[in-house]
Amino acid sequence: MAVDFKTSLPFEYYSRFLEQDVRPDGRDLGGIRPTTLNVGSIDTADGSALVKLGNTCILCGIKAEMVASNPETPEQGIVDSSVSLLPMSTPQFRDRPPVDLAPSCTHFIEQLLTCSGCLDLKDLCIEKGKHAWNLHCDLMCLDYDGNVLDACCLALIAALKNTVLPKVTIDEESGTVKLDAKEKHPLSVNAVPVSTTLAIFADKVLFVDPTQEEESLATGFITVVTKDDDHICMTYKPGGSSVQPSQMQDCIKRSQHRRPEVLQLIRQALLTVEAER
Amino acid sequence: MMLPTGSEQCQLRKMLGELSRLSQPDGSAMLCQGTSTSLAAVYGPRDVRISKELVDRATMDIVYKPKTGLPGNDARFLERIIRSTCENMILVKQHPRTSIDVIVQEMQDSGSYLSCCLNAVTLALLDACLPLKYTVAAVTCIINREGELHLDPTKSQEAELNQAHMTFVFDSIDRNVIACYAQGCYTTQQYHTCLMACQAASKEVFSYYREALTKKLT
Amino acid sequence: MCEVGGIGLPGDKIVDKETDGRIVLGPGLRKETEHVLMTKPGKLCFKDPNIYWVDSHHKRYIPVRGENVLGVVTNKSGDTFKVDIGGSEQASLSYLAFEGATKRNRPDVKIGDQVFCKLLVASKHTEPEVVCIDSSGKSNGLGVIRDGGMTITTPCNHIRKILSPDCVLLKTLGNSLPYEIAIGMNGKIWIKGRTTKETIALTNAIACAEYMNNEQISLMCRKLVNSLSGF
Repeated sequence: MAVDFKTSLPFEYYSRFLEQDVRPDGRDLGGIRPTTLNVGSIDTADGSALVKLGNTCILCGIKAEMVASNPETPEQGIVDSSVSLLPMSTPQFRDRPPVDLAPSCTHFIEQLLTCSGCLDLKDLCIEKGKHAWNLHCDLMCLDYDGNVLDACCLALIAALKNTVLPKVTIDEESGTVKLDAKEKHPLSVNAVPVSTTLAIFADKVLFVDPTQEEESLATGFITVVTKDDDHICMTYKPGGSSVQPSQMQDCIKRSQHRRPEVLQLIRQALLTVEAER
Repeated sequence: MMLPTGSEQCQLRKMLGELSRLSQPDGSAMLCQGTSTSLAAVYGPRDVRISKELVDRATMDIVYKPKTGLPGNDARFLERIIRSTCENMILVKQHPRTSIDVIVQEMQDSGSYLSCCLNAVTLALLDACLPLKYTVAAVTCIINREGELHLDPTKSQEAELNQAHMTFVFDSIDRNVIACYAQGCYTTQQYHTCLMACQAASKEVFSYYREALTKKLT
Repeated sequence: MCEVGGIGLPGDKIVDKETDGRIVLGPGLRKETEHVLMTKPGKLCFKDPNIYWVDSHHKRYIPVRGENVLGVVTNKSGDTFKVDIGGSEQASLSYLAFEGATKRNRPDVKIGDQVFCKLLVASKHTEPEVVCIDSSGKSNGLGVIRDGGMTITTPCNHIRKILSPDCVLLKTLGNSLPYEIAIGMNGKIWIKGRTTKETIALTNAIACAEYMNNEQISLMCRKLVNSLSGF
């Protein structure tokens, strides 16, 4: 009976639940799906992380490549990132995902890297004007069940924290560069941005961490990325239903509330890896 | 946080627009905000490709063309904001099984460009006379290194080391936030101050729309 | 807030005149909770006893049942023609919907022909259907337009202005220059005068009357007739 109701009238089905401040999967409006984080899952990458947020699954791999410095910014290294939504991740995309979804996720992640200040590009410089590290951050969505932005953000930060760079020695006379694979040092990550996405249902109800089903019914999304305990580094609401300024404040509050949980999760995941070493 | 004091800081640059700039589209508008200029064209409701047809609403197709080169990730990001804003602004359910196409051409980016594009699109939609729930106004502001707030920054102001860069989009009925893109490093208090300053400034944009449309229709 | 006679933008609430609370909403208005909001930019109009609508300026035609339109036949398939009337979808025209047409006696319509027809079905959910006969089976001026003349395209609001009983344009022109005209609500006007020269003059007069008031139109027509007769 419930299944029939859900199939024929998904909107009404959800409304009934939300009236009681609960969602069909048992979470309350502020509930986040069980999250697991696994770092260092790819051996061949310099840093990696696998995030499962409910059913949403994001894999992030970071590969450091030594390149010639960009003449415009001789003292800095280079970071590039890409988000790909694989066709296997959801039946919705069939032959190809909506043209603007993956590119706009990529842009979001790029902006996040620059404005959160989590990486100091100067740390990625090997020799001024000559050699620098180029970090390729590849994020792949293996299973799409809503809220990819939050999962991507978490995967990226965990992978960066897991990244180790080989020591580089430069022979001054011949100018040859030697990589020492045995002696590695971790990348310094200066800030941990934590992203929280809220969905707006029927122009008024706000709930966090929407699943794909909830995303298809939602009338808008708000993503807030906190930088530290009092600072925000990004607020992103791409259209959709209008919200009052006070509701925006409420969203920010909720994202700050979520922050310690995520930090704890990252800390634990990193500890397990270190214990294994 | 310092509130804007000088009159220049809390004013928008002069808006200058031209409706029905192009002869072929159903609606078009060129809008200059200061020297930031963008050209928007609207076609529709027109026939839709079967694969994109939606039975209960119009399909929105947004294309953003940069001045040079191919559209990259940033263009797609912009398209996404324009699309979700338009989908909410247009009464899409009034024209099912049709397509509404919006094309935005970058002419000159000299700061606050997202706002300029969104305002040009709104004017083009008004020119095309599509059924709208309300109109929207976009306003950009920055918090500079000294913590001062500047509305409608120019390109050179944007290029400096600022604390934050924010764009807000408001609806014309309740002045609520439709879209928001704010990046940098700021506190909740700063965010709220910027939001309120932009909300107040959006009034100017709305009165410009009224002025432009009154001129066209009489 | 928008008052009757004023220019409003989408989202403006309309100020209700003293009616008994029951009002009829025309194009460009919608009801949300207890307010009536405008959805299109334009002039808010009112007609006794209680009808409100918005007179707006648009180029794109949206089919309305019962309106006469000028279209072009673009395709022929089985027993229907496809007619481009400028809406979001092409209209279908049955070959039986012509005066005197039977299964044996098919009308002579080719692809590319211009037809003056009436919308029989126009709903946002279905394909529009046009016919070239009235309910009694007579053509009544509808049908294929063949013998010369010229077609121009103008915005839809200009058509409404020309057809309004207050507009003197067609009468004034007809006083001195006899002509034949077919006006489609989709913004297309076909016109034919006695000579090609006169046809061109007439089309120009109609096209440039868009932003004129009645006095200016009379003046323009007088000038036109004078220059045509060589003064």
